Amino acid sequence: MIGQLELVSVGLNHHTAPVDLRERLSISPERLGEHFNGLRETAGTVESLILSTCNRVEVYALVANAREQGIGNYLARAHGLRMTALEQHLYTRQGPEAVGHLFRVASSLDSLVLGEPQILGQVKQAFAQANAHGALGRVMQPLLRRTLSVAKRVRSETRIGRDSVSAGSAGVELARSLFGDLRERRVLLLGAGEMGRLVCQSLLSKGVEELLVSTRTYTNAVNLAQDFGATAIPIEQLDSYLERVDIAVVSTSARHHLLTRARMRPILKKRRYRPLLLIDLSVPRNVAPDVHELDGAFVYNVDDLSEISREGLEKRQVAAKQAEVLVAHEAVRCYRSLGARTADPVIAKLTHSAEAARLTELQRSAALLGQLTPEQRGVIDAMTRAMFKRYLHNAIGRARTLAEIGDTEGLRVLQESFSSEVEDDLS
Amino acid sequence: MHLALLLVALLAYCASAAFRIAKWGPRPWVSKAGLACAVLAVLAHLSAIGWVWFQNGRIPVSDIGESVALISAGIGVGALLLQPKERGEVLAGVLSSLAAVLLGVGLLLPGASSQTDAVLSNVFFPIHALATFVGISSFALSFGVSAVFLMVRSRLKRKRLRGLGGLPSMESLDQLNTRCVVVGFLSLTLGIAAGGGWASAHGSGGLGPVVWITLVLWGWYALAVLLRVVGGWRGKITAQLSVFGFTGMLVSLGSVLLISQGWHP
Repeated sequence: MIGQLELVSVGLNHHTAPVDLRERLSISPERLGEHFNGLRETAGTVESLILSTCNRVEVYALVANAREQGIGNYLARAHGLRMTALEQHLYTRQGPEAVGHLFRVASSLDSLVLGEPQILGQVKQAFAQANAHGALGRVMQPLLRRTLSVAKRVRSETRIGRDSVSAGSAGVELARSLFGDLRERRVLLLGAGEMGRLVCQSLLSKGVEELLVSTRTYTNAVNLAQDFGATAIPIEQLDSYLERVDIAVVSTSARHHLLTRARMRPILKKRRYRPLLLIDLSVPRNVAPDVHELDGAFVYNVDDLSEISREGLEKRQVAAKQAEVLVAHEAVRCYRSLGARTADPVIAKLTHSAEAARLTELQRSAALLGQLTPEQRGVIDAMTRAMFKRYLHNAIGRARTLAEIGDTEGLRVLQESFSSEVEDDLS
Repeated sequence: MHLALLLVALLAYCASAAFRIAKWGPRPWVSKAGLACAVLAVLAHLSAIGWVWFQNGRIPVSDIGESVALISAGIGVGALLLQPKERGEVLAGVLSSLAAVLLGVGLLLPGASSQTDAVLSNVFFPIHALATFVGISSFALSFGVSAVFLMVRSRLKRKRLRGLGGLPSMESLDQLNTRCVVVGFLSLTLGIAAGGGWASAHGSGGLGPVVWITLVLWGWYALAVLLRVVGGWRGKITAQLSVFGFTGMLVSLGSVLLISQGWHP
């Protein structure tokens, strides 16, 4: 419990709901304001955050105890669904489990592609949108800041996002092992196969200097080049371009080897054995396997890329286990610190009363002490301040402990007893 | 004091190598600890060399132990300077290990100079010694970089990418190797020229085995520079030239200098 309230998360995701239901429940940014109001009015949320992506629709909210049902009902009603049809797909988490769930989501431990980086951006965006609609307050603001910091820690302290899990990223990883920075690299795409396009997209996203495109017919090459903002080259000049590029992605429908050992040997010699990465995504293969044996040639086919992706996924799964431990630990800590924040108004009141009493006493004493130098006044001021600080130290600690364990009654008693103590002193 | 500083340097090189090579996960403090140890090692090592230079008024190359320790210092400094833009941790660890091994060997080898001050006080001597040792250190760095290059290449050829994530790319290693070989070649050339001046100033007649071996090695590295810089050759062949060149240097010069107690005519 956080004071009289509880933190809950209610939603559905790719594990619990089919895509058509996720589509129906998805919330567009334009309608967020309407939903924040609806949640406040019908589900009694005090603070809330809506995370709507293609894989999940989740509401994180601060509500009065045992009112989380209201969020599910609201979601069903707002999207024209019966609660009975929705409830089997909905999950609800409370307290530290809700915090842990948010941390797992932001750290990409609950994503369809484990460790994908987009979700953190989506959580940040949801945070900004909720803030813009005034839906966040003194509990969820710090919770979301902590969420972003935990997600960043997970990414920096584990390998969750480091290894490739798709053909495109495997191609990029390979290219990086050979060339490091890809910004000064030239890429040649031979053929118009779908996988070839995907790999080239990934390479382009890393800022390669130039992309050349060649297909059997020059017109097709020109059309394909336009899609990528690339340059089309005639197939007859392929060899001379192979002497110049760093990476060649081969993805044609030819049924035979286009790049044979005999054809590649003089090309590699002219390149002075500068490395050439040949990514052969064609089935059947278009680059003869024995080209890989030549100095300077590195031939990787579709199975090799799959193997890199599989290894990457295995490594991410190992990293995910480490991340789960970190997230669980941080969730408990965060929830306790959120609870402790409910003591803040009580502590503020105590320190305010104490400060008022100190200043009153100082004023009273000023007449008795007569003329004091600024130094002497400073010493007395510091001394009384230190005395009151020590006096309040245990009470503040006690208030935080009571808040952390959710003992609102104890907190109220402490505040009352202290207020009367201070007031007695003042009178 | 001198020995204590060298021992500190040795331990710090080992710690730096351990932090950087051991797979302790991507924790930022491991990387910082590795760098801190490398800096400590180089500072301690250079202080030890400075101490001897100040105490004895000469560069500490009077015996083979001191000479090997000086090469090791060059590698340590090089490991700090030669950081690739990305993924340079393991490479720096390998170079720190190389520095640690050479420093350890240097500490174990026999000491005691047999040279007179008159020989050492010649103006050509410090130029000859420093340039030659910078050259040899650069070739040692090039050896380390090339060894890592050949390992990366071999894994890419065998399609085993596991573990490559922590190593620099083949391209970065190739460029580092070129820089080391060019600097080493220019320094060795200067060292040989200054050595010639020193020999003629002392009326030394004839060329001893060390000089002949050095000239052969100079030719070897001249070929490497020619192929890489002028011919534009890349990859395995230039890396192999560096590995075989330095191995040959270690074996030939090491054996001759051990027999001659560190000095050559």
